[in-house]
Amino acid sequence: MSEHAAVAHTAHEAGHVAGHGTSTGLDSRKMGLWAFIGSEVLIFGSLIVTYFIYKPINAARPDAQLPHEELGIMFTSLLAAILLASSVTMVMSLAAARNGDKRMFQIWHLATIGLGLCFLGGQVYEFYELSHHGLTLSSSLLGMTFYTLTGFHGTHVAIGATWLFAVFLKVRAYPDSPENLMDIELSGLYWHFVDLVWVAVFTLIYLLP
Amino acid sequence: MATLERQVGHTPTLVPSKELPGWLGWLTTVDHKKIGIMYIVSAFFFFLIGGIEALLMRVQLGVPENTFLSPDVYNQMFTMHATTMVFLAIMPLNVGFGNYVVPLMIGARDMAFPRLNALSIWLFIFGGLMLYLSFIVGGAPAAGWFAYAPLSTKVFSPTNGMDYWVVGLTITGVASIAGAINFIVTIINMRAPGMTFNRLPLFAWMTLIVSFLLIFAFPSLTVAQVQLLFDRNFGTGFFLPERGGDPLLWQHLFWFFGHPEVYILILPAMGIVSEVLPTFSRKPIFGYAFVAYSGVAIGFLGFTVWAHHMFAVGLGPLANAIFSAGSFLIGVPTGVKIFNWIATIYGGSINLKSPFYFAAGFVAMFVIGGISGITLASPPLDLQQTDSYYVVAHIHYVLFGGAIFGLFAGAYYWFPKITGRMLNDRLGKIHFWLMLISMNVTFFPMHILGTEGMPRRYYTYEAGMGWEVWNLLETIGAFAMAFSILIFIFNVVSSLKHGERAEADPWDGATLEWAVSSPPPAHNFDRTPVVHSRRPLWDTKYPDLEVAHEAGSHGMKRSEAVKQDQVHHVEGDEAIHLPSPTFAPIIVSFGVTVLGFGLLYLGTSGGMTAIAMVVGLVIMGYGIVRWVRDAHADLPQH
Amino acid sequence: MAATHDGAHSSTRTYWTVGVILAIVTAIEVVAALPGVIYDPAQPDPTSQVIVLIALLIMMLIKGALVAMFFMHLKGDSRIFLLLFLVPLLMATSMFFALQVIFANHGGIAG
Repeated sequence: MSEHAAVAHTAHEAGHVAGHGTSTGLDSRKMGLWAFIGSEVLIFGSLIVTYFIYKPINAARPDAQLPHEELGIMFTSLLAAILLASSVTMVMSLAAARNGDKRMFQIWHLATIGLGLCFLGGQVYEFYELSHHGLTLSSSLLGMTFYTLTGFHGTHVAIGATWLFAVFLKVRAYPDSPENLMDIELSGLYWHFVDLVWVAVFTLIYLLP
Repeated sequence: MATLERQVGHTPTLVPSKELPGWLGWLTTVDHKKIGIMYIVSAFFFFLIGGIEALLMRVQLGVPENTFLSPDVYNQMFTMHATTMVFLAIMPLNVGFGNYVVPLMIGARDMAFPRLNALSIWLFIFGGLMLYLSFIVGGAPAAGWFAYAPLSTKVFSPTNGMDYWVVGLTITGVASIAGAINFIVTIINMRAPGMTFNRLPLFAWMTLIVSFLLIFAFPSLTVAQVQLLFDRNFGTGFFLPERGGDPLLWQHLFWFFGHPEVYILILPAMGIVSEVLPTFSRKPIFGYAFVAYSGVAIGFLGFTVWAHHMFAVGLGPLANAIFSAGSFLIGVPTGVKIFNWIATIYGGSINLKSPFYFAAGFVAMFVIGGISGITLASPPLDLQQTDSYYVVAHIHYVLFGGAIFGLFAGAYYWFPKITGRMLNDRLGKIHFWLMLISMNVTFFPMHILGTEGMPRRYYTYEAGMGWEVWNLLETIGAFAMAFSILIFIFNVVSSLKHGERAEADPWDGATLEWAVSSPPPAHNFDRTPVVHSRRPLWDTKYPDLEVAHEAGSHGMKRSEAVKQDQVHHVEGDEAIHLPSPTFAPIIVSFGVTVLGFGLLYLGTSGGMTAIAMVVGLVIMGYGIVRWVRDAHADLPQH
Repeated sequence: MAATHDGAHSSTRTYWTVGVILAIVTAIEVVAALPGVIYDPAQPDPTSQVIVLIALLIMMLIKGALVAMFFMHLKGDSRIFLLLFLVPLLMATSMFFALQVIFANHGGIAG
């Protein structure tokens, strides 16, 4: 079977299989992932709440380190752009898979992973630079809340990139599986969520006065 | 055996089970029934350990100025007793019964995600064991089950106990969240045809509500615990005043989780009572919709009252008033349930068996616990009562008199279904009366002691306070409670061996779990049942009784209800394919645990533990690969 | 039988359009946040601080909504998914405001 046809077979079957036999007609795994995303909203919410509780307290302390002084905007704007771009490549990857275009799926999917790794690399570099400028986990309330929040986010990016890569390998190993489209979609959903969190973090931590 | 639909033609082909024999079968199972049993057995085991910890404390407190336990050991006891009972006993017992019964009740063959289900049980077991390992590697956590900062920080809790608490509970927390997601999807997405939410059994309703509470409450705890771990090991100061941190933030984050947590503990038991009372009163539950929606109300309001645990910290009168108002308000939906249960019993044809006793006991004891809760909702009263034995009384009336009694009701009710044997009913009643009396002897005087000023979490008290008699009485009561549990254990063991064989439907039940044999076959139902009312089995068994009290169907007979429903579709003669057993979940769980150990010691040991974390990740990775392979192999066309 | 497609999928052109809008809004955000453009930390002024705050929050919400609606496909998908996302978001927002109020009033018992 040609590469093109193999994925088309999958797309047809996946459309038939998703939501089959369920009370709502919705795919169970997709529902489960959205429930999980809901839970994660509250995890990041609690971390952001903590950040904002300590923001004024930090500013009033003698060892205060202020976001607009410590955190460079330009470099992180680039990181934000990279992550947003990776969401675009992700939807392109899913669209290609749905169209049965195996080659474009692989390209877009690997591009997404690559951009995610760039983001991670950029974060590591940023952390390195910041710590050399004196902003560490223990240097101030800003350091404490900043690294915890962005560290949590970075961990999620790493998990997401790993998941994306695992899906890539799985689809390659089992090209005929009717679950492939949903696997790709689910990994994409998680990835977009991670991007969504960064949309919030970028504005709230880096940009807000 | 009652059947829901006439078997037409041949029964569908059943793919033979690939369950491994013996121990391996348990290690690799993904069957919700076996996993449910594993939850119940391991949780009961932890319940006994938690009970022993309580007895040790009661020995220490039996006489004033006792030296049976040192202060530090006493602190570990009350910490581990509560942590065990909350996280390792009641929650997994709820999940265990939920796991076993809910899929059957909704007419499903298993949970939505059987392998994820297995992951949950193993993470729970490993997390619980990790928590208990702390006793022998330097000391168990000793800062109370709610681990207030700064007591829980490194300076005041120098042993690794608190780190074990954090990591152990995070692991069990992941198990809980995964389990909750499983229940949410199962109950929303895998109901039998015709089972609308309006017809969902109340135990399933409560399980669904609790699952939402779980996924929305645990994140706050997880964040707080990570912050505590960082404070203890990585130089941060989330809760350290000298670094700008605020110990109150811990309290807020903890109780934002902690208050919904108590509803997570009690709502399933309320669901059990809502099943048992109608069955043994031979009447439908009174006010089904009220019971269901009051559960929703309790769940929702439960998120708005967390600071009633903090009335004494100085939030100010406005905050206190708001949280107090919410706390009083929550009494309303709870009261609604109580009245509905009483109205269910009233006028019923009571079947006086053990499950009914425990369910009725729940109602009575929970009312007492609820009343003390209402007094605690008043800030001025709470200022005196908080951190005293009054609160200990309240907790135990609602959690022992409530949750545990409810769980025993469920145990007596579903034991025949799970094991195929009947428990001895006479022993059950002896267990009930002894436990009820001894429980009140143990916990009622605590209201008095608390009002007289005896503080909680003190390892001893002075002679001459006038507290001696009550404390001694409570200690005696506690041992009597323990004896009643021994009666239960004896009943279980002897019934497993010699108990009367149970038929499919020993209690004349109304819900679908009674439609299959005791114990059920691996695939649960030969054919997926079609449901036409809230009481599918009563419809089948008593076709000429009116299908009662459902909107639009009042006075209608079952045959007419069937026609009106227009739900005719039953699954075709496709083969029943059960998910295969797999080692993947236990491997992944083990990897997570190793990773957890590494994380635990990362602040203190650096290098070695980084290796442990990598090893843990590698094991997880291998387990995940295996998971994907096994899942793929399980797809129907293979 | 059960729905086989969760609503019509957006075309790839839609995705590119959304991507471009995201890029533009991000650029505007960054410019607006630069010191001296609206708000200057060297000369803190409550009015400009509020203006920049509101502007940034609105842009953040626009970006977030676009990602959620189009990339995560909440627009056109079942309402169940929307609720699973929005309800905790509302809870987190309420938690934020409640704790902001509580921590801003660090009074004693008497308030």
